[in-house]
Amino acid sequence: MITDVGYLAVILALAASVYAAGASLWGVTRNDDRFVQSGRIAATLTFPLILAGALGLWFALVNGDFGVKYVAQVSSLDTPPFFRLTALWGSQNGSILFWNLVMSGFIFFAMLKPWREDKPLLPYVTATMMLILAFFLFINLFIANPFERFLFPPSDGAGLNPLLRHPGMIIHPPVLYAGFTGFIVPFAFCIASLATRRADNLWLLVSRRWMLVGWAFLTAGLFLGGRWAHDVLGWGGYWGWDPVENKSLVPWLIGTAFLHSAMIQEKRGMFKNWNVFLMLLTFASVIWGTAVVRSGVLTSVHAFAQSDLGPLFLAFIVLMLAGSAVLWISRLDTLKSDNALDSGFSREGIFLLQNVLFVSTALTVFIGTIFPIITEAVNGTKVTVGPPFYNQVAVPQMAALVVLMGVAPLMAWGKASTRALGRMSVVPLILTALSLVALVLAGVQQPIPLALFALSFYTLYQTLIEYGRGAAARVRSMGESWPLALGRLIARNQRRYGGYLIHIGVVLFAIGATGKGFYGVDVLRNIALNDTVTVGNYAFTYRGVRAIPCEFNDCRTMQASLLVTDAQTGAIVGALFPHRDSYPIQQHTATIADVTGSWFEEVYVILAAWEDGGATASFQIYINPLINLIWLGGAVMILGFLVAFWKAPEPVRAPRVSAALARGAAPSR
Amino acid sequence: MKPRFVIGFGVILVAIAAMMVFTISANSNLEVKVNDLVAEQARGADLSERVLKLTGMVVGESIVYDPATFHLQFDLVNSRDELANNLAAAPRITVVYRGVKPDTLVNEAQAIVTGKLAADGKFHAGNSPDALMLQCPTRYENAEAAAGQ
Repeated sequence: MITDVGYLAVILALAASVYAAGASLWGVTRNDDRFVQSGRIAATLTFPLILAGALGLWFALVNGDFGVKYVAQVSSLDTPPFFRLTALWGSQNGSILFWNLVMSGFIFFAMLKPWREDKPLLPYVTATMMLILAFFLFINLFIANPFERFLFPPSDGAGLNPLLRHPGMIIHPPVLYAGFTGFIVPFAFCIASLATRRADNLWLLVSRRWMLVGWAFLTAGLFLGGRWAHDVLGWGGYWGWDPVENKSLVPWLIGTAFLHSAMIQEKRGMFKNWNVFLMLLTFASVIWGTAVVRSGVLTSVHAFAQSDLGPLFLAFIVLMLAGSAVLWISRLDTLKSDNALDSGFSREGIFLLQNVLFVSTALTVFIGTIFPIITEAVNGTKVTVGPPFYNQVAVPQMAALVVLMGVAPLMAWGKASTRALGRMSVVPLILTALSLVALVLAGVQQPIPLALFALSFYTLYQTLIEYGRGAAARVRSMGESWPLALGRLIARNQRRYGGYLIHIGVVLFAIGATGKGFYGVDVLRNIALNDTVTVGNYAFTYRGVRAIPCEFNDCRTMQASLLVTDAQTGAIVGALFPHRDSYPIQQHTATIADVTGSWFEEVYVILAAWEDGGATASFQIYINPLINLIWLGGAVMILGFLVAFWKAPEPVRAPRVSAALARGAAPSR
Repeated sequence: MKPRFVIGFGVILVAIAAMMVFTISANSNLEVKVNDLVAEQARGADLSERVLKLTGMVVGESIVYDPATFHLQFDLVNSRDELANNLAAAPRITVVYRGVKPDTLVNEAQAIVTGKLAADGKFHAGNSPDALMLQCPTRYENAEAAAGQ
């Protein structure tokens, strides 16, 4: 009953979204604000309605109402209460409802925000967001309906996919969804700005913060996904260039390009067309990414099962792209730059280069991902490209971006001077050289990782020195103490120094990825009971397997124990207890790794198999140097976002927006 | 925009495109099904240099595994239908893989194997972690159907 009320609420949400789009457009063409406001109210209501739908489904999940097909598919009598809640996004139909919930949440806040100078944009913003929401609600109600019921309810369900019973999987999908759907707000502002023929920076200024939020969620989602893969999939890695991963990376790359080029429009009134292009592309890539996982068109271990959503999504993307492209092209003349790019050797020039690289990297990943679809369409056979393609084509572009990250802050606007650049590079270059010498002495001798480490270190030092330079200036001029100077420096210019902190996070990630990528060890060893094998600097002694109680009712666990010692000194490094959980109902086995080692070098071991009751056992042994820098990098990036995003009280901001607006708009009149 | 910028960015993009084309030709894997591969083999085509991504259904009774050497061997047929109704006559390919036998390697599992068709007529899986991928795409749907009966 309660579940059916939820179902009804989702139907009403679809009706509300269609009405809101219609009323807004009607209101703006008739110049009748009552319709616009009515549309706004209807749009605001979609979130509570979809929330009611989600609560209805949650109610069915928690109560084990297996008459609802979805509940029987993702839970069982054995499913612990907590995982009944997360089962809402445990499979296709429910996760689309959850997607709608998160998306309408963003819409809710956008509708309720104070509308001031941006009020003329409101009807178009509402209409754009509502049309997109209506599409996803339509899918939810007519193609992937989580409320569908059995004629004859079963007594028990199939249970949640064991892979999803992990803390990372609980938080990763909501965060990633927030990242994806968060881009709907800036997209809608962009469309509204085009529709109202505005030449100013208004849409950009309003949507920048929304964009940042979406970006931060996407960043966190990418790192959490990597962490989940590392912990649960049992392959020692964090990224495998799988279509499902790529589909999140592409919008991230384009969105990051946008966040940078938006600064140029804000500061110099340039790149207006380019920013519109990036915004449209970002959102198109979000929809494309959703289609990739949900339609089953690409072969991937993680993808949802085959479904008939493919053509529908394709039609939606084509319609959306065509619509926004027509709108954009008809407005090209209004989006003239206020300033010309005088010299490539300037902050703007570097930003442009960096933007081109972001987009070309995104394009590389995109082409690699859809390559099987292209080749099948062209000559009937699917051809896939593997990780080497991405490593050889995308990674060098990313490396170039790391260098630009170090150089860009040194470049002056308009035209930079070589002498100033040289002077400011001396110290970081010396430090980089010293670090390289240390690395070579420590045994890093391959040229490619050395080069990658070098450029990461250069950017790291350059960025740290930026903080130092700024703080030193305050210490000199204001007589502040160093910590106070640094704190005030960041507080007075959050966007800038928060951004640099994100750069530091990226560099830490790059160092970690280089270490893991080039010096990671991955071997398979069969060890007899109480025997020892040596891998790298570690000796592994196998002490047997035993059955232990499983965390869940529907599984059995076998755990191995291994003693890890330093191969040279014999000192104990740690004890490892990797285990395998087998789920007979789901016919699934989860390999749960155990890790030891130091902060700088992870020893990651999986129990692959055992024979004769444990007389011998096989272990997949991974040694992952610097992998913790990858997680640290992710955390620093999010911290940087918080610094950049955390906002001084409202009154301070409003005049600044108007001032920036005036600055951006004035020269074009 | 000034012509020199256009030229500059053009050069960068062309270089990236060239890199892509070059890398794709060296790293792409053709997706094939068991029947296609058997047919190619019968035609006498030399596929030994081409990396292939072979899809098929695992024949449970053909699985041979030696845990000490990690030598794993099994046969694939084209479809579930052939596995159930026409196993004796169905064209099949033997896959050789070095690694731990995955638990998901069972009768009727769908396998995606990346490797090369060697001169010995067997399909040798590569060394990458995803050289042998197994999925039971209908597992949950089956359970759902079963639950609904």
